[in-house]
Amino acid sequence: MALFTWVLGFVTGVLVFKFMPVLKKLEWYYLILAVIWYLLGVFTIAFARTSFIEGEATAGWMGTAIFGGFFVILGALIYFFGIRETQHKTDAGSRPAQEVN
Amino acid sequence: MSEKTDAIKKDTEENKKGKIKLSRRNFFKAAGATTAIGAIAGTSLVCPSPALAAYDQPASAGINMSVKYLDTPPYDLPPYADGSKLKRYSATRNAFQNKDLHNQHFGGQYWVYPYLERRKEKCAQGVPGFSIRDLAFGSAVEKSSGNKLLMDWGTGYQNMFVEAAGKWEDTPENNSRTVKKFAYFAGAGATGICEMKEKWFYTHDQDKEIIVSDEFTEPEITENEAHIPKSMKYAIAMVIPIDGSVSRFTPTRFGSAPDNLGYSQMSELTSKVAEFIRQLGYKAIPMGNEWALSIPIAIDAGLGELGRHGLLINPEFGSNIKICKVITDMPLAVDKPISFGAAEFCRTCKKCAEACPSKSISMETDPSYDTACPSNNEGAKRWTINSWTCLQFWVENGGGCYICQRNCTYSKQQTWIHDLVKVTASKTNMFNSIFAKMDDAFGYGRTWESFSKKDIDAWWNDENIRMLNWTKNKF
Repeated sequence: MALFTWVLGFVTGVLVFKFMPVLKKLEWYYLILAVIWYLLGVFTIAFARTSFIEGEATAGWMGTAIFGGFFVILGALIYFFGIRETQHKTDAGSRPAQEVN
Repeated sequence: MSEKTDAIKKDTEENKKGKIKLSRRNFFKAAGATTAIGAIAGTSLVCPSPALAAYDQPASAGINMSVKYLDTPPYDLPPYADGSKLKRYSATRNAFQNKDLHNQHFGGQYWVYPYLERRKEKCAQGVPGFSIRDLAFGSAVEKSSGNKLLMDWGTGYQNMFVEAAGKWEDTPENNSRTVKKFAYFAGAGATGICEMKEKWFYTHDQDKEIIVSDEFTEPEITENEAHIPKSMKYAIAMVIPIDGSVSRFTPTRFGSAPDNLGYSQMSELTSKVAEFIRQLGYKAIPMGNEWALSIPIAIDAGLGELGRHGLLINPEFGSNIKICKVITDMPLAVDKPISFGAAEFCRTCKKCAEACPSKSISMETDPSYDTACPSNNEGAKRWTINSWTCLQFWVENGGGCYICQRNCTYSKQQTWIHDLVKVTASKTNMFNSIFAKMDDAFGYGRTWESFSKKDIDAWWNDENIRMLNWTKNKF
């Protein structure tokens, strides 16, 4: 339990610091989606972990597949339409004027 | 100083460009802060409160949130109705004692004889769950069940300390607290107290007529009668949780072991609670399934709701329980009945009825006044159970069947996942159908439809000999 909590905190920290510059520039609705995506990830891990400890392997795998599936899809949407788009805009904005021309 | 300023400038510029450079100092700051956040989030999500039971104290945050206290017992409320029309029931009518059933279906023999005969055949055939080891397991755990020394009524009980110093006197509230504290210490999973309604006593049990009267000053069993003083007006109902890791092998003899252990625990627990009360200077009668109907008493005492399968559904342990009670004249404060949406959930779930091998449980959406067999007590609106076909299956099977209680959607270990479902189901019935379908799809509570000797051997040969308590696993 303690290890699980520590790893969860560590991964959260790494993610926040890794994406902080991009997160700052994201539109507010992508930020909300990012928070939902994060909570969904924690929920998926906690669900799977609890189910396996409970001895309900089917529930563990089903939970991983269903909630994990939503997690991946939502993550992909946020990445392609939020993060990558924002990065493109940022890159375009920071190029010298002659390059753009 | 200027170097530090340059470094900060450089960091800021890189941040603006979307790159990040994390110094060791910042990294550890971040790791510390986020671990703390993660710890708070993780703890609240994954870790339940310790199970204390009795819903005047939180069993867990989820259970506490799902329980609603009522002034009227839930068997009088929709989907059920006015339970006051029920009359006192004779236990001689129930399937286990019913002579008509025995004459019509068991060749006039008491049901246990063909039941044991069938078990012997299955043991000889090497059917999984019926090996010599499984039979020994299923029977040995039942050793204290109905033990006459334990279930003694305390007629003529004397205590020299009470005679010298007088009985224990306290307020009813404190007495209830004391008795509950003792019951939990002695092994109860949940305890509730109610005033005993006379109609819950059987009129007859086995060969005895049960008489409740002011004329009696102490409880006594005579040759043909059981005398209960009217002053013994309180019932302490207790629930004993059953180990679901083994009961998933029901309906084998191996899979019956947790319930059989429960029968032993009923005798042991009630005898201890009764002895405790007697040593405080009051009268007490320990009761398992005999002498009075356990389920309505447990409902009155706030331990749960009546389910489709005719069993109690407890908010903490679901139907995977055994119920016992102690009747006493000790002044006690009573608990309120509770509701947590279970009966409403039963309307759509039907999981127990679908799984029942003898199809003895009603599949109707709503309860009715219909009866399904001569053992049903008329006058109650409920889902009817054909206890005749149920017992016939027991006999054909040669081992007790607990599929309905094991398959119940509420019969789960206590985890935040199930608490979340229970809380939601207690607040709205909108998701009941989805939850019931998900319970199936996720494989929860499913008894093993086909298993081999190897699966049972795996339980015996598990390296983890010191088993965790199934109901109180830590998540």
